[in-house]
Amino acid sequence: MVKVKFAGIVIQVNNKYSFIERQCANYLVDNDTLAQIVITVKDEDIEKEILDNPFSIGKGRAESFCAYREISKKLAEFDAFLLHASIVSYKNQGFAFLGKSGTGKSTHASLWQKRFEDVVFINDDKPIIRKEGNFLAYGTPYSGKRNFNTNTFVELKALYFLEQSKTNEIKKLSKEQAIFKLIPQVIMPENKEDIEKTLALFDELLSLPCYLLKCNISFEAVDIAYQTFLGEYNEN
Amino acid sequence: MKIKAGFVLRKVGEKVLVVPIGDRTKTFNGMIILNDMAKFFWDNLQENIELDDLVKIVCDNFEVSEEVAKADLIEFTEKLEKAGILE
Repeated sequence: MVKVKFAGIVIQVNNKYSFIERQCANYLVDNDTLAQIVITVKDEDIEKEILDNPFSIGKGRAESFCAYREISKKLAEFDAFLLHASIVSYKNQGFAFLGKSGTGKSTHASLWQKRFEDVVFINDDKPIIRKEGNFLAYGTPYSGKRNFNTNTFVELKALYFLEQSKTNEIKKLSKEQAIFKLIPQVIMPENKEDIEKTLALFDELLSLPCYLLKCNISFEAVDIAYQTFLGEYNEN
Repeated sequence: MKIKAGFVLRKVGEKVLVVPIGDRTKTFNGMIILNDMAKFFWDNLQENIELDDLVKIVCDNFEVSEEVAKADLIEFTEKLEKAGILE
């Protein structure tokens, strides 16, 4: 049994394999901490994860992935949800980069780190977003291929939906345009009340500036993204 | 005809978002955005209704000719049918 804290929520996983303890090493809490979510991964889900995964993975890793997926379905109660995005923190501002796998979210996020001093990766792949007044993006140990994550949080300030392009262009998105791009990047809960709660959260989240960023791999892309945000931010 | 069960609606900005839930995600793995008119159509397709009755309801509530209403409704319901949402 292992207890972790993600996004301020204490979660107990009744694990069979030890992999998850190593994966969550930076997020563990004492076993006597009261758990708010309890997860037990079923054997058949572990088998399915192994079959579905394009890479060859062992049962321990599969159990860990499954646990995270099960956790993500229970986040609605805590005004939270899982987002497929790469999120960085710069000057205590959270910037989220979204798009299908392979679009270049991680690459773009890394450019921010090279371009500016003191940019921190909150989570390079699957952060948890939780509404606590404002929307906070939390690090978790599930952060993709390079596993860049920090056990901290940042207030989200803007969302960038990325597309690969030869030249750099940025466009503000309306809520309706953004929701279409957002929904494929979240893991939705399964029951009606939780789904309704989560959709309500999205509606609020999309009041933040949302941009379509068509970009190449260059510092110019970072500058355009940040300056546009600043320009709008300073106007308000 | 009527729209199958298993959808949740939510206003987002000026439009309405429709997402499948539960078993419905097995047959419809997408989402829909409705403008005002489409939302009106959607609401009136929650119970079984014939096309001509629906045309009448639309004409009663909006300044539109029968031909235009019928054409729009046929286009709308065909889209739903193609997506496997209409029964």
